Parts: sequence; C-alpha cells; structure tokens
Amino acid sequence: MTLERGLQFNTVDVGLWEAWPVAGEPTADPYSKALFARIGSVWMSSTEGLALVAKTDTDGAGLTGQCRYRISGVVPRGRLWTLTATATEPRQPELDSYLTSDDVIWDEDQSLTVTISARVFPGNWLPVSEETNRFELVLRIYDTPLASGGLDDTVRPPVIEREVCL
Amino acid sequence: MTTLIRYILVSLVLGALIHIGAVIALPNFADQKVWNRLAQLGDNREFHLIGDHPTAVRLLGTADPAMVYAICRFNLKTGPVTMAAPPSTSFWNVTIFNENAEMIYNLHDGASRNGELDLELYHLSKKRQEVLPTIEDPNRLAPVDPLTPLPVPPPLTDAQRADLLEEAIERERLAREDDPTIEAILDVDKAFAIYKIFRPLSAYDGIIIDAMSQARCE
Repeated sequence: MTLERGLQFNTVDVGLWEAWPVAGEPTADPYSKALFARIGSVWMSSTEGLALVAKTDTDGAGLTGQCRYRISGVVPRGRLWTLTATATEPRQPELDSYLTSDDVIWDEDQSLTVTISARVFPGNWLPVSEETNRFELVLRIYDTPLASGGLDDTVRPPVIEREVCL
Repeated sequence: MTTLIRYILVSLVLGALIHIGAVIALPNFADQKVWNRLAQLGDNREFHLIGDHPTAVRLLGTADPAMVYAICRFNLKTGPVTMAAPPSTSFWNVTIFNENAEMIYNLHDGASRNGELDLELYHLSKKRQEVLPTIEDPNRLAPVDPLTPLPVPPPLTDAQRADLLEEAIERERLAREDDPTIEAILDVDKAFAIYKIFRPLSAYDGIIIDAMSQARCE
C-alpha cells in the first residue's frame, strides 16, 4: 500500500540527517497526514524546535550497536539540544540514554565530537546496546530559528563516521 | 475497442477517487489514534505524569528520553482551561494537539515572564460572545413617538465596526497588562496538551516531580 512507503513527503535532507519541518501541522499534505495518523505519533511544532533523524553513517550503512561511531561537526544553533538513539526494530531493548547541550564538552574550535558505542569511551559518549541491531539517531534542537524556514544549504550538521565494529 | 478503453478509463478514475477518499479519511479511522491511547491515563482536565521513557514512546509514538512528560486531555466546549505550573529546569514546553494529533498551539518557557507556566485556553466561539457585547451599537434607536420623524444616524460601515471591535479588544488587553497569564483562543473542541520538562540529569528528578505534581490543568 502506498502509505507504507516511508516518510518521503515534506522531508528536508540536511546532510545525513532528515528533518520534518512541517510534520504534524494541520496544513500538511493529506499523504503525510494519513501516514502520521497511521503511525500514531506526535511531532514537534516549529515553535518548539526541530528534530533531525539520521539512519546511516557517511558510507550509507545502517547504524548498529555492534559498531563504534564518531559524530563530529557543528550542531545547528538552538537554546537546547538533545541527542538520543532509538532502536528501530521491534523487541529490541529500549534505549533511553541521552546527551544534551548542557553536558557535552566542546572542542577548541567550537565543534563537537561524540562517540556512540556499546563500550564506554572517554569524552562525550552516547551509550547504545550491543544487542541493538539497528538504531536511528535523533537530534532534537529546541527553540531554534531553523525550525521556521532557517534550513538551507548553509546549515552543516554533524557527520557520522563508523570507526570500528565488533 | 472503444468500450474496452472506456471501461479502463472508468476503472482508473474510480480507483483514483477511492484512493483519494481513503487517504483523506484515514486519520479518522486510524485505530492507533493517540487521542484514544491517552484515555487510559485517567480523568480529563488533569495532568497525568508519564513515569518512564518506554511508556512515553508507547503512548506518544515518539519521545525524547531527556524530557519528562505529562498529558492533559480536555474539551474546550465545556469551558476554558487554565494550565499552571511553577518554574522547574531550564526548559519546558507545552504543545496542544487536536483529536487527530495535529499541533494547534505551542508555548515554551522562553515566552513566560518568570519561568512559570500560566496559560488560559478559550474556545473561539465563547471568546467572540464575550467581547462583542461591550461594543455599543449606535444603530439601536431609542423609543420615540412613531408619528414624529427623527433623523437617523447613518449605519456603521464595516471599517467603523472593525474599529470598535479593535478598541474593545485593546481595552481588554490593557486591563490584563499586569497579568502574565498568556491567553490563547483555539478553534477546537477535543484536545490534549503535552507538557514536557527538560531533565538534564537524574539529580533534577525531585524538582521535576515537584513541578509536575503542582501542575494544574483545570
């Protein structure tokens, strides 16, 4: 059925990340509306912020808990942001760890380096589970001008590089 | 041959109509409606705290583990809703959704005067009724002897009527200038609010639970 095809309508690609600036508002096109109704999710309004989702690393491979990744770059500006991992397959352990703009340590040049892995790692570390086959990274940027028309080619979001796998 | 083509065309058009109809009707039939799932939390007009991240995901479809969520369901037709909560951590947000989980209003702590949540929601029709009677209607004639002709003031133009309405609204706004309550007028009956507070570390759980337990949705 066409409605299963995935959220391809009204998405904006920001590097490796996908954003849904018009998700969930009454003005959204009927296809997105029907799909959101079927999924039964609530989304962020543009006043609240912007959610960016990444599903692959820079090579295009899906993200898995058996590998270690390094996220590096500049996070688009906002009053607060949170970075979390969500397991995408059913019956996987619920991942509830997170990093926020409040507790990360920035590099000298104001950019950010985060390690995502099952094993603990020095520096900014977002834990995932070895048992997680597939996950997505969700970067939620709260109270940001990017949510209402600020997204364009000049925004350079972080890249996700696969370092080593078990 | 033309009959075959005609049948094919009719089928295509019919198929397209059915498809369009299904797409538009789907939000009403979705058995996974968030609105229905939220009924299990308890009574309307009360903030219900969602205890953990997996529960938040199950109820809302998606949730930020760095946030603590509370939900309030209500129907604006039964009366205005007051939402209030004391300040807590460095970020909170309230989003109001309609029955179909579409966002219709959003407010975060950046818009509050002192970090407090202080919001009043009115139904559009009720607010109109409240404001309009304050305008005096110059077209209303005083009772006079019907045999004596009197000059009749010219009827108000639309622009004059609009001006009077604006003045009435401005009078009301000035009266509320010292009151930090934020008012929103919404065109919706059944709605729910998601109130979320940022949880930087588990050390803040006490403050957050405090704020959530004092949060009102009446």
